[in-house]
Amino acid sequence: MAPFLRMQGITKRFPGVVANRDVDLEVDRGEIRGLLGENGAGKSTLVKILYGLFHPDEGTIEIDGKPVRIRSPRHAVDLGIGMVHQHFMLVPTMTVAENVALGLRENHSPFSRLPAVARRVRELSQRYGLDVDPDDLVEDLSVGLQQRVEILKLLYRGAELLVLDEPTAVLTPQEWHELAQTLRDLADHGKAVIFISHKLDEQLEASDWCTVLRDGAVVGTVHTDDVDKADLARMMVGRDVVLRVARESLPPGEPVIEVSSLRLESKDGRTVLDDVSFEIREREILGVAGIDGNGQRELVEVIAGVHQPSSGTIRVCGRDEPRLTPQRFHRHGGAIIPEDRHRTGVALDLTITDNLMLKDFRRLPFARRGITAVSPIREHCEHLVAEFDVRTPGTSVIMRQLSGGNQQRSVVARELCGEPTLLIAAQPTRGLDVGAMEFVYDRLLDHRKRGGATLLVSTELDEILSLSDRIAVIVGGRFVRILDPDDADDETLGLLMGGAEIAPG
Amino acid sequence: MSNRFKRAIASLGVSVFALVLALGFSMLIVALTGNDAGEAARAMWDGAFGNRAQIAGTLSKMIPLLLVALGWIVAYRAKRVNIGFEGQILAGGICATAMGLHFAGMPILIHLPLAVLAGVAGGAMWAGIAAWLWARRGVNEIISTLLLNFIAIEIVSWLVRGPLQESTKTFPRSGPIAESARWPSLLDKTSLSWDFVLAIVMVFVVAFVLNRTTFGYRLRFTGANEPAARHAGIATKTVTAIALIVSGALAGLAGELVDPRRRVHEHVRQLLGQLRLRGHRGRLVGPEQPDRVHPLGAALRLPASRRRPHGGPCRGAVGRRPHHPGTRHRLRRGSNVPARPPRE
Ligand SMILES: Nc1ncnc2c1ncn2[C@@H]1O[C@H](COP(=O)(O)OP(=O)(O)OP(=O)(O)O)[C@@H](O)[C@H]1O
Ligand SMILES: [Mg+2]
Repeated sequence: MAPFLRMQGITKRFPGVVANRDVDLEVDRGEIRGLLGENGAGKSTLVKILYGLFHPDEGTIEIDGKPVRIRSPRHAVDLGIGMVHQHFMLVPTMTVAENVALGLRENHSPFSRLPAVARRVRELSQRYGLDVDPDDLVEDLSVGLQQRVEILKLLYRGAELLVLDEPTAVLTPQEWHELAQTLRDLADHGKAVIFISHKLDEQLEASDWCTVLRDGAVVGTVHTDDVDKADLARMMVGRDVVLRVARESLPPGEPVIEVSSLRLESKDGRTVLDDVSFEIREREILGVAGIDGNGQRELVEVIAGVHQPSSGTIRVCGRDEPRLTPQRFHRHGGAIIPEDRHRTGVALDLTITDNLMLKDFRRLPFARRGITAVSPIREHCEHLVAEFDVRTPGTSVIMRQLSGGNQQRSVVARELCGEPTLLIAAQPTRGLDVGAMEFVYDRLLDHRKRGGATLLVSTELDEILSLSDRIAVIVGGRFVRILDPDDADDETLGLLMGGAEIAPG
Repeated sequence: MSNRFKRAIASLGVSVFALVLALGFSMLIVALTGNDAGEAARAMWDGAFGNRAQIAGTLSKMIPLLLVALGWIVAYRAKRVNIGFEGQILAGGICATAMGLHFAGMPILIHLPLAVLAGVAGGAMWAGIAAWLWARRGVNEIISTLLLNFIAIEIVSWLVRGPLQESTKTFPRSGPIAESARWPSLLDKTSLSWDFVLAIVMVFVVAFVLNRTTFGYRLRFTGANEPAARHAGIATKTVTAIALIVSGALAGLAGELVDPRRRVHEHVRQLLGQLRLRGHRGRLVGPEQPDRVHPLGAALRLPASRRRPHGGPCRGAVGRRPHHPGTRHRLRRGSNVPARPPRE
């Protein structure tokens, strides 16, 4: 019998790049297929072709043995192909059932049939062990549950093949295990799954087969039982990747930032940061571990001067900063890699050059008396693109045309250049492939060695454990514990992040 | 570089396409009324480019439109929609006229620049009100600039019947502006004067400011992703407010140049009717991404949008023919201002 999906000889060109080159991919029912590859290798492009967002320049697609030309996402859905977007497409103020009913085509007024929709949602939820209540409001659900609602939407529309492009960036480890289980259940019920993730552990845990892409072409397809992380990394990057970093011990210097009793209330009066105190010295990395949404973003924004704290003091480089602004933060030599690159990191419609200059556009030699200097800027940007290995046909390309990981690389390049004194790195490796991740770790350690202070905010415990000099665990806007990395491991951190009370020592 | 070139070509293509489409539709309508479309097209061509004087006339009518288009571009770079050009033109026109009516006898090298600056200041101030409301009170600039139009219109109506009315009190219009506040003629025996050169220079100035200065960069980034710009220490509110004010200043400059007879009178409005047309078209033609609306593109686009036969009602409107304020007045009024009984 023919496999459910067969893509043959798929080639897709963009101006200056071949995103997919003669790619063959077969995915059968009951199978979870991992897609792996460096940033810009063409994974997203391949699944967008499958979902009707791009049309291949060459090649054929067969569904259940029948050749098809996928015209649009609508058409893809009709063919039984569903995609879970990284940014959820849900209306928070509506119930699960209403969200599922939204956009259904079969009836003019989907809401008149809500009870029927709810019944079917409950049924599907039970069959696949999704544990979603159709009457819950979406805004009350955790990120992991919202993702399941997305999956339910696809199942409701009769998806036979589910595509997930980097679905795990925002999940907690617990949520990830549940997602892996869900994917397995789906496969056991005869669905096909395509799963894109840079995290090799996840690929090994969830996928049956893993197809590795490099420069748009398939390097090979391996069974995940036969390989380990190092093998996958080598296939992807073409060389050995050192996944653990060597952090030499350095004597800390002067305090760069001292924060005491920081408190922040949101507009609606909730306490988002509560009595946060810490200091970071030269040559120190303070890791902040926590589940997404426990006040990390607010902490970062207060220190970067975007919000004024409700109370508490901040001292930067030994000077009291009663009203810290982004301008002052920059003047002190601050740099920030924001957690949500699309919101506050890049302007998708501007060129790479414009995006790379955001931090430095005011200063010599890039500007003189308010007039920008074209050639120093060009040289600087070309240098950054080369050094940070941003895969792009040129610096005048629009940011939107870069792959997700390459957008992240540009942000990292911009913020790490020019030797900042204080670096806030929030999820600095989100969306990066292992090679780039290794590179960023090295650069963070270089920064530390040079005497810079770093506030590293991450949901990746590995990252926190291997880079930090001290680890703060944040729960509900409070630092529940600051500990030494030698006293910490995955498990204690996980428990602390989950809100467990553990006696120190 | 080639990327930019491609974008420029694409943008030019859109302009040409819009032009062809507009011409096609006009001809279609002419044909539908049973007239000869070919003849109409010929008349149009002759009217716009038939001889030296007509080419000059077309160019001179292009000037205010060009400046307003520049104003649109500046505001839209910050993703702000200024639809108050009409009011800003009038505000600029009022100030420039007031300046031109007084201080007669000053040397032109002083008087004319003063009048120009007054126009710029008037437009800037009018847009400044909207900018202030936006920055301080969060008032949507589309609404405020629109409503400020009506206020400006009423102020003009009052001024040309009151403080600024010509001394003979015959028509609701101002007296003639001093010779020393008028632009000297650029081409003999045509309506084209040196302000044409100013407008062209402004295209390059605006292009330079937007693309080659740190202010242009701030503006661009603010428009493309405001939170990111703010996090990076760009004072996005100030930048945006300045963009709105500059946009109004350009319209005010257009106001200074708008009336070839150099009088503020109600005919200004007829011209504004055309401006509004242009405004809509500007939005239609302008690509959705603000960084792609290029000032030089606007310059290329504008002259074409103004092709219409001279000597028609349009020309009269600019103030050549004697007129009956009552009837014309009512006619115009119906098109854009809430109906009101004629005063005469
Ligand atoms: N719309 C587009 N226009 C031009 N080039 C594009 C476009 N979309 C993608 N590309 C290019 O195609 C290549 C493959 O991009 P793709 O997004 O498929 O990579 P990816 O494997 O998903 O990478 P990542 O791991 O960073 O998400 C990249 O070089 C990218 O710059
Ligand atoms: Mg991708």
